[in-house]
Amino acid sequence: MDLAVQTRGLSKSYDGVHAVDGIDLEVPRHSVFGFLGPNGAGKTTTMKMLLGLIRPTSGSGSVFGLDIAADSPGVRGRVGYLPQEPRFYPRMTARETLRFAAGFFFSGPAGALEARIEEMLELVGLAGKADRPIKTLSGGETQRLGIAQAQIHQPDLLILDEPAAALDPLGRRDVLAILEQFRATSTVFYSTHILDDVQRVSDIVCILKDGRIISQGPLEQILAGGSESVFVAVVEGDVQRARTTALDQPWVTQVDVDGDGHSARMRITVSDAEVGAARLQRLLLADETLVVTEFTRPSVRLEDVFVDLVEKGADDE
Amino acid sequence: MSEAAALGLQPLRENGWRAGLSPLMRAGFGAWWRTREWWTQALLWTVVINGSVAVAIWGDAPEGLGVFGLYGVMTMFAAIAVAILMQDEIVGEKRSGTAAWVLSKPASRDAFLLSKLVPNAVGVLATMIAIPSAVLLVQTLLAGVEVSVPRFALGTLVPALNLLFYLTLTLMLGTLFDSAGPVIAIPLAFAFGQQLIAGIPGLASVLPWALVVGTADSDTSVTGAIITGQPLPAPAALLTTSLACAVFVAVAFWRWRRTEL
Repeated sequence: MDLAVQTRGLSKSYDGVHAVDGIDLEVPRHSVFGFLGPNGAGKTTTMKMLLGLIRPTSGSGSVFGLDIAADSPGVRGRVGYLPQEPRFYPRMTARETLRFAAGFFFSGPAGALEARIEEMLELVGLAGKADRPIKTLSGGETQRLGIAQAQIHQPDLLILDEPAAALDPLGRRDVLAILEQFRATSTVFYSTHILDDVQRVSDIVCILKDGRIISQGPLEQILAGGSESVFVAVVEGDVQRARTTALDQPWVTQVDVDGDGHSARMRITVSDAEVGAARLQRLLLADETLVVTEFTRPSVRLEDVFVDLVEKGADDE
Repeated sequence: MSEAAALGLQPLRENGWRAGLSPLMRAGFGAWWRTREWWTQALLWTVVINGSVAVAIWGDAPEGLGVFGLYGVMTMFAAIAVAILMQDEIVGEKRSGTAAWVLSKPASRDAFLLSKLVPNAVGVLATMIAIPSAVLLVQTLLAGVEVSVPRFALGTLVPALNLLFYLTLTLMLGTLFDSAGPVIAIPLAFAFGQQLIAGIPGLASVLPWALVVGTADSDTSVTGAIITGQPLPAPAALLTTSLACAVFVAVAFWRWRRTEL
């Protein structure tokens, strides 16, 4: 897999307390990677280690193959970063802030630079407020300026720390639309608390708790509770025989039955979602004595999975 | 081809300590010269320093304090102002997160610190020393006070060194502490504390205080002595202050390279 970010045992401790504890991240190129976790899970610390702002206590990491410790300037040249609650120089306007940010990456004709700045201002909807001092911008406008400055050099990787946290629903919608646009040219690595947003735009999700990864993988896999998937069938007939038939299949891992002996709701867990989708309903219908009145694959909300995983992690401790 | 390249923009390839120096310096100088900062400071210190000197020349001069002695004393207030102005330069950026934001760009830590040191040094020296000193020269010539222009120019470098002492001290403290309290308290305590220890013979002659104010060892400051062509009362103060500035800068760079943001 072609990776934008990879870490191995990346750790950070403060006075013996692990803020980040041996994480192995794998962020594929051109993915929108949602980095989730409760407050204090270590998301911001991880992002700052990738950027060379904080030194890892142990472990290693690379961004596009560049070592985050030894090649930090090279890494930062290919990354655009939006800090959590971004603050810029209040004496500057939005346009001056973008000009300042662009100065780290480009040289060339002033007209071309101004054209790029104008393009970014248009993208984030700040063209009309470009020459106002930053201190007059609202929280949402400052956040959008933060996205524009992170994207000014069209980086290969965008690291966005809570990009939609301070925004109202309309602002969030706009930010998500902007993230979608970046997918074509960049890898987006972002942290958030807003799980509905993650479900809308992310390809890959990583859930962090107390500095450790408790789940990482494609969104569908996380929603399915790992590689397993669940189907629900409401049946009438010989429920016990149907249960035994299902359990005889090597790809069925668990069958829970709720109901009386003649009519029941079966919750069938399969090890391979694709095989389950292709064969399970057919298997049940093959028993002519059984009436299948309903067969569904219930959708799962990321929020439920997140709460389950985080609470399970807490119970395990 | 990227959108930027299509516009004709070339990617920068600066490495080492120079990485990010140009935009950081532009921003640092811009904070002084593209805002009202330069003229408000220049106006303020021209009024404070040259107003006091005007009273000395054309009004009632303080007992035993010549025009150039008074000039030196008044620049001590500017030195204290430097500590107040600079207190938030590093600590403020650490706390607000702008330092982390800037250093998430391909900019070196050294370039960041240089952009705090050089533009602020130029700004305070121009507005608090150069402009009031030029006005002072005109004042003395108008008043018919005999003064050697080369000696006067050399003499103005001494309060400049005193200002640099407080500027580098405050910047260094900004890299060492995470709150503004000690960053402002230590320079002010030192500035005012010197008044007390300047009365101790021997010790007084190595303090920056002796550069601009008379001490127990001599009624004349180093500044006044250079301008008026007298023997230097505390040459060691020039050396210790210069050395202290160098140490403060070295510690600031050492610490800033290791600071986690």
